[in-house]
Amino acid sequence: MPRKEILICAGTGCLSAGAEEIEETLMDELWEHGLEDRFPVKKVIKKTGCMGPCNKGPMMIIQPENTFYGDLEPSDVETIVEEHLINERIAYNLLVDGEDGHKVEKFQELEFIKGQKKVVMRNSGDIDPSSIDDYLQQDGYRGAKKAVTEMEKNEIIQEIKDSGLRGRGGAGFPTGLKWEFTANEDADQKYVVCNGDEGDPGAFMDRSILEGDPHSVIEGMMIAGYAVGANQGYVYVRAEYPLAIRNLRKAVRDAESEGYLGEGLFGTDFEFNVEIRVGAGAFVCGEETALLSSIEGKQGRPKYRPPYPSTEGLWGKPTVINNVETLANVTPIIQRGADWFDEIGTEDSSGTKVFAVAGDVKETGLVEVPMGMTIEEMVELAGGVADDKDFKAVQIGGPAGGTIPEKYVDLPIDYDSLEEAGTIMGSGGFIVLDEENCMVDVARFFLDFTQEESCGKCPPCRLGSKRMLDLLDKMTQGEAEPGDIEKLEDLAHTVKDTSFCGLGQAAPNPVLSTLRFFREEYEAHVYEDECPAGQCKAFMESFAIDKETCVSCGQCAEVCPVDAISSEDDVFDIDPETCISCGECAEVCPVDAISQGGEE
Amino acid sequence: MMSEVELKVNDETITARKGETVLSACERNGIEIPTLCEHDALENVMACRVCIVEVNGEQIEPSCGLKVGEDMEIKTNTDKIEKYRKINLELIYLNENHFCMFCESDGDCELQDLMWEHEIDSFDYPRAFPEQDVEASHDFIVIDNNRCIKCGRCVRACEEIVGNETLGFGGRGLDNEIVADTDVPLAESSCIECGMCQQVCPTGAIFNKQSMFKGTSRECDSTITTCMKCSIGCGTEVYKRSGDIVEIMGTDLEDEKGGQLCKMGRFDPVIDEDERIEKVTVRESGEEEKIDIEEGIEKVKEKLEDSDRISALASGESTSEALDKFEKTMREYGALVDVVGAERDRIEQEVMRRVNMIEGHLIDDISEVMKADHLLVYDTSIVETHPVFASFIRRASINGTKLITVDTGEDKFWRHADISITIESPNTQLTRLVNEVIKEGVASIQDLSRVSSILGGVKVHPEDIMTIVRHLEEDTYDIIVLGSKMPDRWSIRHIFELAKLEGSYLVSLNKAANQYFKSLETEELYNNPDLTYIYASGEKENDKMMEEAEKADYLIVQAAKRSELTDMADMVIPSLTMFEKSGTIENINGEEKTLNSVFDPEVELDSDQNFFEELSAKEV
Repeated sequence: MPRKEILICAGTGCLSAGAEEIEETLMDELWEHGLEDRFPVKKVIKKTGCMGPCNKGPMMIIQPENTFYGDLEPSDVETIVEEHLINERIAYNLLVDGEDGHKVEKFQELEFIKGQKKVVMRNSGDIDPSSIDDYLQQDGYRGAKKAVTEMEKNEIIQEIKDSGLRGRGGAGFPTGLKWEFTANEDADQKYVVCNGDEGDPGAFMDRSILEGDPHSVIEGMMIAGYAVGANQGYVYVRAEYPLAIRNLRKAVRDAESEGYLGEGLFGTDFEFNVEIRVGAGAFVCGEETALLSSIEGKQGRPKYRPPYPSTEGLWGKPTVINNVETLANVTPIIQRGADWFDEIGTEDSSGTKVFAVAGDVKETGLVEVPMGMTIEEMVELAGGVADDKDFKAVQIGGPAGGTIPEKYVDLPIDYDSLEEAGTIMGSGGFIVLDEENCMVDVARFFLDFTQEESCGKCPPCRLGSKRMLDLLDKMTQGEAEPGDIEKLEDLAHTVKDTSFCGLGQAAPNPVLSTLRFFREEYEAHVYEDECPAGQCKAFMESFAIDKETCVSCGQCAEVCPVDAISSEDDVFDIDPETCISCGECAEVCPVDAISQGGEE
Repeated sequence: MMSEVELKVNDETITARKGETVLSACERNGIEIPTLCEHDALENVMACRVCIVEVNGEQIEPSCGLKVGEDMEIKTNTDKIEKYRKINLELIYLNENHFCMFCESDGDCELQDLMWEHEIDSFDYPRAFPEQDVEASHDFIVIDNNRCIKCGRCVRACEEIVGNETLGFGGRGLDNEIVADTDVPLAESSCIECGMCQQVCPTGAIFNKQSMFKGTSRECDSTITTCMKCSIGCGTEVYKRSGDIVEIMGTDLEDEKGGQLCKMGRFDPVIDEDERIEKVTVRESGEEEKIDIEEGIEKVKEKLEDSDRISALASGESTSEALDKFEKTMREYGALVDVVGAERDRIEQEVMRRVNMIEGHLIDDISEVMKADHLLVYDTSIVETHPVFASFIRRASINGTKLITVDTGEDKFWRHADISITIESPNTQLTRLVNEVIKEGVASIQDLSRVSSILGGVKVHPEDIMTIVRHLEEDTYDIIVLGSKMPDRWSIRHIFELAKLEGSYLVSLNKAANQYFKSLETEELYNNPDLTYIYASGEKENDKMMEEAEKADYLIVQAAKRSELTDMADMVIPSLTMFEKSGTIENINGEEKTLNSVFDPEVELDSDQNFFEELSAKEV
């Protein structure tokens, strides 16, 4: 009989939801019930990387039966131990609800999981990322062994080219071609750099891969190193990912001591080493030339290309620089072949893509789906729009991406379709927006982020994005003047076309795409003093209490976040100057005495 | 063979050199593209986005970064490009305090010029200028971030030209500002006060306090001349207005070894307020009498004729013409003649003769240090005595040259040296020991205890000595640099022997600014002279002059400015200042540099050499 295993998701999301407390309680319960011999904790409890359905954390899967328990409280653990482990019955009450109201028993039966196709996340959530043995049991380092001992360098590059793998970090440049450029360079030293400086707000696929399956990234780098003739790799991870750094460091140490890094790999004279460099939190360092400067110990500022890193990269040497997710795809391609990979996805975008699904949907978290899935299918996979509201748009590609409106729900998600629709794949942000989102405010949100992250090297990005933000602020605050939309557009094009690096060039995308699909919302803000989505407070009338109806219960005053409601002799009143029109008071009022605009 | 490519610019076919940028190809073909962050003397960083052009009808690229390509089609002035360029200029202009009439650089500002050129006189966006730091801690260099457009020229100049890496960008995005070191006040930073940052700044963000309110360069007359504060002989352009120096700039910036100046050449002369020697002063039994030049000449003649043992010492900060006449005239009176700095040269000549060393070991062009694989610097005081040469050494180090320093005091290259050795004194010990280690052969070097025993009491790590030896033994281009502080003859001998043994080259610096003394006969002066004539020229005083003055029985000092030395003298004679002189000097590379007078003499002399001519005994 297969061994009992209790997998607890210990990704950053679940940790902050209390996964450690669940683990501790589980250990206590096993002790209390005298089960420590039957279920030796070291063998049975396994802390894994991200399982995906993040809004159900903390969560656990009990193997081999594959039972999934989510939304766990420490008090639930006793039930699981008594019911599931002792009585060998499923703790039915603790199963999560499925779409049709039925309880879902197995992890794979979750709607959120069903539509996925796991290639890069193949091990995450399944293995203990801090154990090289776990990775080896999943055929770990077999791909590298195959590449180094059985394949010619150009065969490997050809395989990657044939697979159609494209960079998962943003622009989607063909990975095999990138490798070929570096392989063709004649140099005494070459490097492989893994870009783990994931910085898009809400994006955490790279973090999850590094946390959940660090060896897969190291193995991908090693294959790249062998193919291009590099013996040194660097992983650049942001300092804000302490768990990823910890797991990665452990993985590098283990690989070194087990002979999977260092000299004489797989009995050949191939040598490969990996060092970890921790970034100091500058978003611009995700741009490859800025990242390389940062590794060199210089200020993270972009450099002009050409020369591209593939010919003159780290310390002037030819350098392959790939994103985490791209590298995690390499081993499966080598093991299972280019054809297998090419069959997944669409013609020009093969393979899968990991998305961080967020926003106004029922289920949020990480999903890995085949390229070419439509927006509608993705939204359905996430359980549809939450609270029975209407779908308005989806923001794809993070702050460098754009917004796609409802009429394009059939759009397949692949590099080229997205580009045509005015956005980019980016690192894989997927934020669903319901009808209550103001698109001007959405653009403002993303621009606020990018302008803050400008390195300051070139005026269009440093200053232009700030002036754009000023205009968007004016619009959302109801202070815009006729002509401001045109000024915004002029600036957006200047910033896009003349900025130094990708950060600035992409910064106006959220503005340009919302202008393209939701121009009428901008016009309403400027010309009609109105926010059609009802989000911009500046256009809202303050709330007032109908004194006839009011029963002086005082609940409104209690919930008011800005203390705008006061009472004198049990007569309640809202100060319109202080009121921010949030509507909390109207919601709690038991007699519907509060409304916008007041009595009339 | 230089290959050429043809490309189209604004529908016109031009020929460019392969590998050059579109900007430089256009400039050579007379097609103007406005630039702002670009500077001839600095690496291009493509930051300002003003020199943008359209490539092949689609992409927009900065012409300062884009390399020419065959059949490329470039447009420099489409409506779109013009519009973008104007928006970028407007963004730059509006973000800081560019109220021109209150700016020190009003009329001298490249941003202002571009705004005029592009006729931007009304704005689509509001002025922003967030308050930023004004760094005014330094005596004369001010960095006003409120007028800084973040082009980074100063940062590049400080790194690429000066090799000092003091200035850098602090903060990110809108918080970007120019900071010194780790954001310390400039006055407390590693700044060597060369003023290069100020010279390259396109706006009024970096300016010289000394020049404030004195006028724009347009309102000044300028003279191109040569600095004579040390033997580098840097080209200078002196701006003056109403009889005052407004500021001094370096010339030949596009030359990799040109353009730089140091504090001595750029800032010190602007505030030189020492009292001028205007008349001949005769001091006798406590009485002081001022007489005019004619009478003075007669008086000096009398004194010279009446004296047997005459010591005549000239400052190295003199023109070749004056030195020439000085030597001739003094010889006529039977004087022994010496020039400050010549003594060192005489020792070197002697050493070279004794160790059979050929002249070829001495480097012809000191900028060669930038090409060396290893540099061994004895006496790091060159940072103060020859600051521009010190920049060459720092630049070499930044670009990968291994820098080894040996000093008896603080290593002034400590931020750049790969190995820094402090020895008690004198240098003799170390050089001798290094030589011995070398003679023992590489085999013995493996044996650390053996090395230690050879090294005896010197405070260095044996590993460091071994590293030096290994470096020098490698078949590489190695240069040994010797500073101008006077080491003893044995040190010089050891160092020269080391160079000979290892096939290294030598740069040796002495204290004279004008190396013309090498064409003259010089010798050691009397120990007990009857009369000592010190021609201090524009120099105030130095150790050698003071030493000779102490020995004097009767002291005549000829100087431009009052100093400790002139106060000691029995007779004081006026001389012209650095900016009144004209003539030539010979620099350390043996090049003849021209000195043009910036001001007419304020005193009765036409020139120092005429004075010596008139002093000549022949006329008597």
